[in-house]
Amino acid sequence: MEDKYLESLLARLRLDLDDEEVEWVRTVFAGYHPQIEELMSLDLAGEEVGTAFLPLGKP
Amino acid sequence: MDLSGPLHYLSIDRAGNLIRDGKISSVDLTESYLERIDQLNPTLHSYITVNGNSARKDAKAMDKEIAYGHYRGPLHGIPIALKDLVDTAALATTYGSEAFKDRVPSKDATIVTRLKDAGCVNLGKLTMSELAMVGPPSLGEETQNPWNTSHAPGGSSSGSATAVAAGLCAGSIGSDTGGSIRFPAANNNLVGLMPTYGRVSRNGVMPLSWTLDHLGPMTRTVEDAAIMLHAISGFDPADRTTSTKSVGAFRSDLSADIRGLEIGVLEDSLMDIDFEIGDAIKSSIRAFESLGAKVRPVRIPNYRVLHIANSIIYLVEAFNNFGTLLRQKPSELGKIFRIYGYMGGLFSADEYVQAMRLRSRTRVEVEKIFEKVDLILSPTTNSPPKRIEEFDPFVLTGSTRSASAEAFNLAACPALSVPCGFTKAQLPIGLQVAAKPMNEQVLLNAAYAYQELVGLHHKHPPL
Repeated sequence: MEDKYLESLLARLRLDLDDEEVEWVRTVFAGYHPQIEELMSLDLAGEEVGTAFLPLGKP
Repeated sequence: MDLSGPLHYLSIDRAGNLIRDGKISSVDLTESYLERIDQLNPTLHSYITVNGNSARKDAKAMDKEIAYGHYRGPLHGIPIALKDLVDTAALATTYGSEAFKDRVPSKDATIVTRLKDAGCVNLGKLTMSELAMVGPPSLGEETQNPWNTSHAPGGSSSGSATAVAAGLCAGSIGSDTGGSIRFPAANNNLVGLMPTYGRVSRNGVMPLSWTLDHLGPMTRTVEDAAIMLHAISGFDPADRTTSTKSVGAFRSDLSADIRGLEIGVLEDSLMDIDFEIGDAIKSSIRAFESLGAKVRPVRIPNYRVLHIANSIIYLVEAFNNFGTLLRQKPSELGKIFRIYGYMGGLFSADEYVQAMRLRSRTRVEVEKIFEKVDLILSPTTNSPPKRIEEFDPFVLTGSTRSASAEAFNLAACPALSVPCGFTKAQLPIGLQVAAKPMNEQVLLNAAYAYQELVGLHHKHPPL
C-alpha cells in the first residue's frame, strides 16, 4: 500500500496511527493482499448483494 | 448413591435427571462448581466474573420449585456460564476489553432470559478474546487450556471452552463469527455448535458482525448441546433476524441410527493440514462408514478466497461498530483488536460488496452440495492447539487458516465440532460436521452416533 494512499485513507477515517501501528497495518495488508486480488478478480455476474443476507426460515 | 464420577463432570442430561428425581440438588451441584472455580480459576482464568452469591440464591429457588412439584425441564437447576459479551442485568459485561471494564447492563439478553426460564443457574461470565476478535483479552488474564497450559485454548470463546472442559460449569454459551465456538471446542475436547443464522436471538449481545455472528452452546456431550439448543432457539421480536420456524425437540429426537446418511468430505479442507489432524479425520471417515453412512468427496468452489471474504465482511462491520472507539480511545484497546480494527476501516466498499456477492454465490453452491449429501465433514482446525509463545498476532491473514469453518458462517448453515482424537502430545482434535440451514437435528444425530462410537467425551483434562 503506497504511503500517500494509506495517509489519505487514514485521514478520511480520522484515525491517528503512530509509526508502529502503521507498520502493523502494512503487515496485515501484505498478508491479505494476494487474497484480495484473487477475490476481486472473480466474475460474480448474476450474484446480488441482496441475496447474500436473506433471512432464513421466514414463512 | 454412586454417581460414577464427580458432580462437576456430570453431563447436563444426567444431572438434569438426577435433579428431577431428587437424587441431587441444584445447590449441591452449584456448590461443587463454585468450589472447583475457587480451586482452579486462579490458574485457568476461565471466569472474568464469578456470580457466586446470586448463583447460590437461584439454586435454592430451583430446589424449592422441585420440592413444590414444579419441574421446568432438563435444565432445571443446571449451573451454566456465559461468554462475557452476553448482557446480564446488574452483572458486569465487559467484552474482554479494558474499554468496557465498568459496563454493567440493566437488562438481560434474550438468551439469558430463555436460559433462566429453562431453570439454569448462572455461575458467571467467561473470559474471551477482546471484542471477540482473536488472542487474549485486554481486561483480565488470558484463560489457560486445561489439557496443556502451554498451548492455546482457542478463541474467541476461550473461557466458554476451558470452563466446560475443566468442569467449572455444566455448559456454556459462546459466539461464532468465523469459528469462535468451534475452534475452542476442538482445542478442548468439547462439542461446540454454531446454529443456523436466525435460530438463536442475539438481542442484548455485543455485535462484532451483524451478518455473521451466531450464538451457540459449548458442552461436553452432544446430548447436552441438544438440550441447550432447544432452550435458546426460537423467534424473538427484539431480533428481526430470528426465524419463525418451529424449534425441534433436539434431545428427545436424537438418534444414533445414521444408516444411509450421505456425507460429503470437504476435499479442500484436507489440503495443507497437520498430519495428525489428517490421520484423525481419515479415522473419523472410516468410523462414519462403519456406522452405515455413505461417504463421498465434495468441493466448495472458490474455497481459497472464502477466508478473505469472511474477513472483509466482519472486519468492515466491526469497524462500523467500533470505529468511534478506535478513534477516540485506542489506548484502551489491546494491540490485536487495533491491528484488525483499523484494517476494517481500510477495506474498500468495492471489496465489501465483492465479498458479499461471493457470499451469495457460496450459499447457492453449498445448497447444491446439500442436494446430494446430508452433511459436510471437515477438520475443525488445520492444526492442533499451538504453543502460546508461538502465537502470531498476524495469524488471521493466513489464506487457508479457517476457511472450513468460515464457509458455513458465509452460507448461514449450522456446523458443529465434535471431539475426534488426540495428538501424540495429548492435545484434542475436533471434527466439523455441517448441515443445511435449520437441519440441526441431522447434525446432532450424526455427531451423537459418532460420539457414542468413539467415546472421547469420557476423557477429561489432567488437572
